[in-house]
Amino acid sequence: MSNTTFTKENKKRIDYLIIMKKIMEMEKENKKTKKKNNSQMKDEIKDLIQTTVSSEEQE
Amino acid sequence: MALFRQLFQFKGKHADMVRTLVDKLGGSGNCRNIDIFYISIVMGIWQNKIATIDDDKKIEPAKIDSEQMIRYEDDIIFFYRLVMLSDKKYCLSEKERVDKAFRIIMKPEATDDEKHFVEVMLGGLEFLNAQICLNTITENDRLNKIKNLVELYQEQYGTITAESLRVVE
Amino acid sequence: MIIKKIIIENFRQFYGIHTIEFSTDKEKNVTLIMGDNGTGKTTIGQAFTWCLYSEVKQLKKPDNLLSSKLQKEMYDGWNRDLAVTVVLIHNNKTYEIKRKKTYHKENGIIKDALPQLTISIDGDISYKTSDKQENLINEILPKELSEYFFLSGEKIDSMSTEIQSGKSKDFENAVNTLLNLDYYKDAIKHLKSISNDYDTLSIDNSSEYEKKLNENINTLLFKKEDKDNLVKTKNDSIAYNTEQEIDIKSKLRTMHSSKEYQEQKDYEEKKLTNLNTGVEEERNRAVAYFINKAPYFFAKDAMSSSLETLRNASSIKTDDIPEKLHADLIDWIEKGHKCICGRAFENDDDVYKVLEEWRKIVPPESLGNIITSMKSKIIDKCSRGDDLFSDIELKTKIINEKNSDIEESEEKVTSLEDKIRDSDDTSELQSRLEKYQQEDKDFYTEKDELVQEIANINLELAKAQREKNELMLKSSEGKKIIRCKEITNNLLSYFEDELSKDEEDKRNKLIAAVNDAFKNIYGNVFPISIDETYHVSAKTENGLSPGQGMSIVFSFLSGLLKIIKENDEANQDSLESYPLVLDAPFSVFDKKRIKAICEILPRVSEQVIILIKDTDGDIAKEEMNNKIGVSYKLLTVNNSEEETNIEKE
Repeated sequence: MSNTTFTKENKKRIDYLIIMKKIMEMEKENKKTKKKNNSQMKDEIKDLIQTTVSSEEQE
Repeated sequence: MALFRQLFQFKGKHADMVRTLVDKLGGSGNCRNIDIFYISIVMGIWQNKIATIDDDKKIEPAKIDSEQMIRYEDDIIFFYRLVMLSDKKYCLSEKERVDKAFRIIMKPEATDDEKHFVEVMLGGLEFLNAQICLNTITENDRLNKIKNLVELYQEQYGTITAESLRVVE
Repeated sequence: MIIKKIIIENFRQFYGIHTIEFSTDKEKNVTLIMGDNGTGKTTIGQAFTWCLYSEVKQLKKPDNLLSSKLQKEMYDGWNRDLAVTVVLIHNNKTYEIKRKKTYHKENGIIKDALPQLTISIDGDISYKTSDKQENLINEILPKELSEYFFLSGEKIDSMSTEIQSGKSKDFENAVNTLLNLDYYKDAIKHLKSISNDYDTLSIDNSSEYEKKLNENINTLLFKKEDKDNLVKTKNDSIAYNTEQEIDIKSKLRTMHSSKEYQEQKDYEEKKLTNLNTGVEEERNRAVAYFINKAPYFFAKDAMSSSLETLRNASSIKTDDIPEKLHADLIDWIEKGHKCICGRAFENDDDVYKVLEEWRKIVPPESLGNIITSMKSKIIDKCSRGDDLFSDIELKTKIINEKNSDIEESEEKVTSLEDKIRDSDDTSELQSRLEKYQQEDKDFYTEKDELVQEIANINLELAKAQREKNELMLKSSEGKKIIRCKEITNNLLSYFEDELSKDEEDKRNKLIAAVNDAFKNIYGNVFPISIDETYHVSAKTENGLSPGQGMSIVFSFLSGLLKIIKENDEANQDSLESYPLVLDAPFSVFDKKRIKAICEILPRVSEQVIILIKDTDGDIAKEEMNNKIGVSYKLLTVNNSEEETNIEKE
């Protein structure tokens, strides 16, 4: 594996961890406050994912 | 009446008693009329009881046939002698009792003695019947009555054994 | 968290203001509140939960909390307050939480306003907005957790029973909810839904073909959902049936079939017949002895007196003359005038004289020999009758023994007959069992079919998806959607992994903590384990006793608390221990168990508050004497259900 691929792989992995952490925080927050319903939560997570994909495209 | 070496008949109510007793004591296979005869004699001596012959002709007699009477003659003589020797009420004099038991026996002069003997036997039969057959319903009752009878006699005469009799001799 | 005091004002039967100060001592950490039924023990627990969470359980009319005595006193135009204040110490700060409701009487009707909540921390009133207040309270004592720390006797009993029977939903709930695994589950739920959304998403301006393809995919997804639900239903039904089967099987195990009883009865009856035959045989033998020996036994007296008579009779002993030589023979010889040797003789000659001499010494003239012979006969025949008494005794004894055996056997037969009659129920249970087993077979078959159908749908779906993806890859928007879905699915699998790892991790930690606590509470007895399906089992030979079940409940609470603390330390919220508030913990237990609980309780938590009946309270006082910091008594006023006073002891 070339360095670039390795970094890219690693980066992807790290991205996932970051996204997971973000999602967990969102869920915790919502559990406490109970402000958002299911579809609102989904939308937020979708946004998160779509943002990730967009930033991938830019690379 | 004639006693020895010929047919003996229980008559009238005594015949019924004999039959009942035989039945209660296991039926004719286990208990013969002559067995009742023997036991009745000793019961009669024990209880000091006599009973007159019942002549009720309507009742079928109970028989001990002549063959048996001859076969068991020695035993019958033995019990006859016991009666004569021990019955002080019948005859007080010792000598006379001995004569009845040994000299007069089976002679024509013995007619009254023979009658007495039979009456003692019938008395014993009545006693035996009352003891064994009255209110005896279950198998248990029967055995209990026998047991009571034996216990009663044992209480009175249990000390008499062959050994004790031998010693005196 | 430690509860310092509670101030109850006009709450249900507490008319006026009542204060309870709880023991905060580390050694004497038990507060006892005693009162008979109806005096308001449960009300105190309700006051807590109403103050903290605005919730009151077990009340038919939760709105009507105002003291009825007060209600009667109020005139039109009056305002009166209902309030509960809980003062507690959390993280070294003193929190005063007061929930108040003002009631107003108008036209004879009492109306209430919305409750107001004020929280002051070390004297500062802050957190005025209700959201923030709720959050704060949840931080101090989360509502879900409060269920485990405000416990009624029935709840303890039902948890203990569940644990004894092997299941524990409470454990499951605790691990999932209280240990934050529900965040994972929520995330997974959302991600799954998002993934499905992407499946059904269609691009704008898609061709007819694409639209149809999408429709197809949608239809397939619906079908799949349907079938999945059906499978779930079948699984639930199978689970239910299996439970029923287990239940019936355990019942059948304790009831013997009537066939077994019948066999036992046959054996016993055979025995009975043998015994009866034996008894009959013994009886017959006894009677035979009687018939045989009675003539000699009952003649003993006659024999004895006959012997005496014979002794007294004078007799000549002449040994050589045979007994049967009788005068009759002499008569016969004399009559025939011929001796037995053939020699003739006449009356009065020498031969005749000799014969007359013989006559004197033979019977009946002389009885010597006969008498001697009679004597020995008497002795001989007497011995024949000697044994009769002992024989009859022995036979009677044997018969009595057999008779009592017979009685025993007869009793057994009767009881077996009863059992046979009663155990006919097994046939009903059997047929129910078979019904469930047959149903299960059918369910499995149907499930297999469904699973096959789902597999087919999945194949079709996969095919359709592939086609769709190919088409989508042709547009940049499509590519984007595909990538989003990929990420979503990856996230999903990461989350699922994490969930199972974390769950296992937390479950193991809980088990360790529970075992630790159990060791402390019950002593080092046996290990407790919990499997993935939250079945609680203990390696003990005889199953769990109620005492042990309860100890496990308390160990569970203790362990749970520890894990929550650790869990939240990681998240930088520090929580101290929770108090244990028990409402009527002894209502379902006997004296022996109360004693056991009393030993355990003070160790479960730093602060233990027990609301208890008077009679149980006396026992608790005895058993926990050196642990009770303060005790109160609840007394009804004038035996009224409406009014209770709280008195410190």
